[in-house]
Amino acid sequence: MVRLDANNILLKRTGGIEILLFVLVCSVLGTVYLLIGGVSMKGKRVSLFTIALFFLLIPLATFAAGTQEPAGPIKIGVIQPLTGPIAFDGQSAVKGAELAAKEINAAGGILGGRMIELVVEDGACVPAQSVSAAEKLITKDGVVAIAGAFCSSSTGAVMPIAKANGVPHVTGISTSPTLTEQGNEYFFRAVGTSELFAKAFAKALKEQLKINRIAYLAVNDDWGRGSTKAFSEAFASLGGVNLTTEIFGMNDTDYYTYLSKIKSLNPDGLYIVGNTANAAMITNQLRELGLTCAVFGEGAWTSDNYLNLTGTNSNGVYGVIEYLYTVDTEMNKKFVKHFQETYSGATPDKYSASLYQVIYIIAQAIDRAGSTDPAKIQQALKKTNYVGLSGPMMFSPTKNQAYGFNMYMARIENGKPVLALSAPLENPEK
Amino acid sequence: MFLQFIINGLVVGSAYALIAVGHTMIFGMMKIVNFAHGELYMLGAFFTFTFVSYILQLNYFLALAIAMVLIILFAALTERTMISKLVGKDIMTTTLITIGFSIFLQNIVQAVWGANPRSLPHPFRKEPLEIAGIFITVPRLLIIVISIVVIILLHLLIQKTKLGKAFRATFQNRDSALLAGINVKFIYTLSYSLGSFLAALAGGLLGMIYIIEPTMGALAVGKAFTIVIVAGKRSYLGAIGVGYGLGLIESLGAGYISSEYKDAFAFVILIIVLLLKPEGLFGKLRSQK
Repeated sequence: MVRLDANNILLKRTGGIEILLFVLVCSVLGTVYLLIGGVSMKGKRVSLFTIALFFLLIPLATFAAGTQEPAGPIKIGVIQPLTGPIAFDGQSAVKGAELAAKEINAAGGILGGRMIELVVEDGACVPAQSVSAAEKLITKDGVVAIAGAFCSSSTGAVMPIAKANGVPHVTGISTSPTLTEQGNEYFFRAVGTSELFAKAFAKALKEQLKINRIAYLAVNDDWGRGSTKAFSEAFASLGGVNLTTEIFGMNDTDYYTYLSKIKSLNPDGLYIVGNTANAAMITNQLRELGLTCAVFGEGAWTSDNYLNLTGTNSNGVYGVIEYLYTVDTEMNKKFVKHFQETYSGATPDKYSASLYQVIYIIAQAIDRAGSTDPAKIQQALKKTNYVGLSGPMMFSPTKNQAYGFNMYMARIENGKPVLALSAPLENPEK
Repeated sequence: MFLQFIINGLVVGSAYALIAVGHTMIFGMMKIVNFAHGELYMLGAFFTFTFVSYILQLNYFLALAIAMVLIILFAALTERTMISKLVGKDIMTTTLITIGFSIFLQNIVQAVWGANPRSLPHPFRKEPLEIAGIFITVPRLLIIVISIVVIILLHLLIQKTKLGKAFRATFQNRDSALLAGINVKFIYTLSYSLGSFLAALAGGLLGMIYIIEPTMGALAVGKAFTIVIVAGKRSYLGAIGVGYGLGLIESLGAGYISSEYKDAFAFVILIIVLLLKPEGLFGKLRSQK
């Protein structure tokens, strides 16, 4: 992609000869234009219009001078919520991304020695703000790819912007099934969808844990609604009974009403979709209300922060997760060790892990593309075969949906998540 | 089930009432829409948290008391240096400044304490009490009781004391109060501090059962604003009634109708009231001078 931004290129390239060349080309083009203009407008004063056109030529000249690749760092945009109720999860994700960038640069960078640079923007999980962040990243920072937007609604809003500008866009967090159904070839999802989780685990719940009657409590957004819909369909097809679906607001703090209602239906299992703060409050309140059924949570249900906030209340809770720091793969052991060294002993959660992987996937794609041309990166991303923290990761041929890696369900015992079930995600387009 | 919903609604309603009544005091007295009011709710929780968990590691009640004293001082200082300068200014000015102040406080708190959600440690047992099939924990019971006590005390202060008389006089007509020799400036500072204290108290109490994080205030104040408008901008008793009423309606509505529309109830009521009685349920229509 060619960006007509003189400042951008001038700042990047400080070579004297190049600047001289640039000025020369500008002056020649400008003079030629003024001469032609002068002749045709015999005797008239050079109008403002002509001067304006002259300045318009400068960036064109820059383009002519700048066809050669700039040798500065390669910028990758990251959009995550850094403020608002899920700021903590977003910051966690950014930590993972920064660790990946640090490792890649320490190992000599990509494209034969060029460093990568992350440009992090706050999308706040608000679609409008995420869109402005994406526009800023593409037009002002000139990123070659975008990672993120966290909440499915925000990711969905960023997708058309990335597509219109021809910039590849990879999410490692948004799981709403609809995102990969839009035929947007610039969008890649490096995480399982709610549908794929549902298929993998509805069966396990029904057959291994003998859950027959289930209630749902989900956050009011694409993720919460999509997840419960997919799960309840899969569960019903196996002969299970769906009792009720309660929807709460992301900013809710009191869940007694929802939980009282669910308790009165006396379910075997409760499937909850929500992030750290919601998850912790729900867990504490459901214990206070004396709910004794099995609890399954989708979201950040095994993070350190969740465990701290819930104490003994979370014992026995199952977390349906993409990632667990105790996963036993070579890659993951290295990652956890490095993460703990970098962030004073904190264990990585699924958000850190997913953005860590996304940055690697993008960096490797740029390397394979052999260029920073976003269109070539997009082609290279399609051929991803990344060995990730929880197994191999590939993208399906038309929807760009990742598969191949393992999904987990952990049970919290004595304040620690213990691996209870795992299932590999199948290629959804097989 | 019904009683459980009522109790749930009372807990939520206590918070609404405490925040809204403070909001009404500042709004009615100083004619300032204080968009930073929710941040006092948030600061109340964070101050209490700090004294329980970091500084001194005090007993919860002692920590709450110290936090409230600090909040009152903080509010008085803000009123003297900033809010008092806004009295009589047009709505755009006050709105912009208080919104700015709210963003400032949120970000300061995020910078000092961090964005991660926390819980406020309290000394009460975690297991709920079961009374006639209703489950309630000690902190929740305490929230309902303390809120009601504080609201009664507030009512007595306003109705039965000399200071209360000065409050009411200023509330009704600032110029006449000034003519009668009431120190209106002092009443302003006092009412702003008192309003802030009520919000902070709600934060310090509810921090026990919810989770505290820097944006909690901004979210709480949206509802409080609805309550103030529905109740009538100048009726603090109305704000208390509507606060509890909304808590109950949300709880019963979500329980018996649909949880999906829980937040819609408040706004549907707001629209109906604005259509039928624009001055608010308990407001009196006053001619604009």
